[in-house]
Amino acid sequence: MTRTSDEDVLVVEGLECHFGATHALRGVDLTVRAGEVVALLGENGAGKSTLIKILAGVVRPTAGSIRLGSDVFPHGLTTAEARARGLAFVHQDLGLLDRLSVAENIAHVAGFCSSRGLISWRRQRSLAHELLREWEIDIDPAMPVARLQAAQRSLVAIARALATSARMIVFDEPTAALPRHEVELLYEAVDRLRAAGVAVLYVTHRLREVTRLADRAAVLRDGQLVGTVSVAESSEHELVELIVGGALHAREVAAPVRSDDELLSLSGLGGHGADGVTLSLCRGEILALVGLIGAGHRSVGRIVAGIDRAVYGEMWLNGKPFDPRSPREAQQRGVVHVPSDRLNEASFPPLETASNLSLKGRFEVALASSRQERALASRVLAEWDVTPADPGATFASLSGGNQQKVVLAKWMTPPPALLVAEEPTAGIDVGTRSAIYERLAHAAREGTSVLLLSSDADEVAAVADRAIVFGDGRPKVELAHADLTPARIARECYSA
Amino acid sequence: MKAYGLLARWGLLIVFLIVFGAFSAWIPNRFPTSGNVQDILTSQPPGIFIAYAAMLVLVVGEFDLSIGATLGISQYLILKLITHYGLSWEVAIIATLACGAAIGLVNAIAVVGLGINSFIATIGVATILEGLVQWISDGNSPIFGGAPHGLTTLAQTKVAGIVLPVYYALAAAIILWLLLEFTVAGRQMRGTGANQVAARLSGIRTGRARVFAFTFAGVLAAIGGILITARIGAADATSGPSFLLPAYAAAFLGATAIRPGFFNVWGTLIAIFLVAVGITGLQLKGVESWVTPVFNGSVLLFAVALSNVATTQRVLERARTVIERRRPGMANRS
Repeated sequence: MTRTSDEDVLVVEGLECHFGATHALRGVDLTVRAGEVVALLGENGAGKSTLIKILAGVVRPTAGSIRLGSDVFPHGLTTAEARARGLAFVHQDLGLLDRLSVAENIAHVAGFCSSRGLISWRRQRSLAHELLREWEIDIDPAMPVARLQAAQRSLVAIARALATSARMIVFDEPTAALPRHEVELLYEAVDRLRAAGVAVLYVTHRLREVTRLADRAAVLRDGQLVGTVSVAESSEHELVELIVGGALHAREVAAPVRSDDELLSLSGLGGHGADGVTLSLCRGEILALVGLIGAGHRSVGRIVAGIDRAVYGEMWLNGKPFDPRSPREAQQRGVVHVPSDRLNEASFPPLETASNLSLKGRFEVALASSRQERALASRVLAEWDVTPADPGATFASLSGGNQQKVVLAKWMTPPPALLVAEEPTAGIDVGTRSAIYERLAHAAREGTSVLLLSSDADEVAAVADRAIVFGDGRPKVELAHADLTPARIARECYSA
Repeated sequence: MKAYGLLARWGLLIVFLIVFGAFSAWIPNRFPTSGNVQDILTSQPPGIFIAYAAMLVLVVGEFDLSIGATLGISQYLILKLITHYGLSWEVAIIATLACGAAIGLVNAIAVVGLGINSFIATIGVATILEGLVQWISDGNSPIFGGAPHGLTTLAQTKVAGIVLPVYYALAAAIILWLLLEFTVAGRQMRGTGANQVAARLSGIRTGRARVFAFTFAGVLAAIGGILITARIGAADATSGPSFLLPAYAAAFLGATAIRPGFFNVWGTLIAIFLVAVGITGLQLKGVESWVTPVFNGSVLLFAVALSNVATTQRVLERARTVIERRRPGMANRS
């Protein structure tokens, strides 16, 4: 299994990729050697996803070449070519067939053992058993994947990749969905891969993982490779600077005057990923709860909005006890929530924008008369500058930015007492972003309190009055208005 | 695009007119006669009501496969209540409607309360009902006669040459249309069907919307059963299930018109008559009886294919947005 190290398994040169007007990758060079773990870092939208999609054969590069071992692919590769050259992927959602056994999952990728034209389950299981033993993975091959721990499932995904004699494995945020106490299992597996001479490209947001696992770190920013550094010779601080960029100015906006009357207060709140959260939010204040995915800040928002029920702890709204059992109850107390999953949770894609604006527990128009509803919708769409401003247009036909405006407009007309906004500008173009920031700031001036749940340091720096950085389900650091620079926020997030 | 939209909206009505015109030209002496038109109208109301039931449950994003059995048990139950238990026909109607509502409520409890997939839950309920109807009918023996005059006049009286049930069906259409398009409850039902998660997060009581749809569907199916008994004055315990699939065919076909891409009342009504006209025409032309189900099935396939075309634009748009959200490299999976 061991290969000579220093052998270049993957060499990417001058990779360019355009999507319409977007220049997603600008001349990226990257080398990954056998027996080496390279961490790929960068903010959302920096180009990591595009690079991985190109390696997986899902997206074709506009220019540049990819070399796998001794084969050069000048125009990108196909999925089949990637696999045939020993390039395997372990995605965050592992792509396992949950109800099938470990052995069967391996077989679906590595091929079935047949005996006289039929599948030989006995040989299949012993093959899986050997594979798992070779990689010191202690899992019964007959076990259905759904019954395994989260980390064990990742190991199955790795084993499956190795069954095809992968020479390089690309991990795409493999620990984002793992409980903290299970990640070590995965780290050990990566260590074994390195020892066996497999090349590893490891995409992550967590700097601790980089220092624990990686030999080198490659950092992307705005589609460019801004640096490849040896992890042993760089500090976390230097990595953050590379990720968020050097030009970090202090905030220009003056600290807003805000009233001191408290709207919401949480005391020792926990459950669903949040753990003992105590905080307080004033009327007209924009408080950002910041963290990487899985840090627990979103759970706080979902509990406050009545989507999930607190397991312990207490909440007060306007000085009165607050324990909503459903989003409906929360809305009756003036608390609304805008989920980040626009198409699955926040909207009715097949329906018209008018319906998307009016479908709530309580309608703004008494009887849903289409004329009144459309008039209201037209006014809101115009006010929010949605194009097309046609209440009859299907929601799904709008662009992402316009969809997001509709979703926010729905919950901000009339102004709620408390708006819980989950990643309100994720995947949105810059113009719409600033329009949405403007809207949030305006609503806050009018007295709406905003709980902004974000993993985007720029966003938090742009709109929040105050931020609390989350890690492991708990508030870790509170940043006052003066400290809200993207660099500071990012640094706190990555080390939380 | 505009013309395409209009065509999608009125296409089914145009097809209906073409089919009607074609048979009129083909069988001029027997098809376009008032007698034939009356025959078609007279036989449709039970099918219309059960199609409404199918449509209403589809609107909230569920299936109710027990409506055929509900219609079957209702048409038997009403006559049994009158002939065996001596209930007056008015009370028997109310009891039968209540029974329909109760069946709908059982479906709702299974689906909303217990979280069973509606397809499976309602097949279970339908199977139970088929057993129960055998029980109350002493092994499927039909009841001949015994329907009181009051009951039969409900179905057989003609106003302007058309039997009353046609008016009931129209009245029900208007009520359902107003409900679904112009009341908050109806719009919330649509929202529930369009995206149940988003509906719940929006503060819509999705459970209540679905309970209402199932219960109302049970009542509509019971009305269908009562109308059959009232029309023929007799009850046959075994006829219920044959109404089920044509009802779904009509609901799906109806979703291709008027509000293309959405289950809607008027489309469903047009679809019923399109199928009825087609079958009547073929029968007048003397085709054998096996042609009827073949025609029904073909229309259903054709309808859904057509509806796919009508919503392709929307679907493509949606697919594009979904693909953009996908994690990288998903297509890499075998």
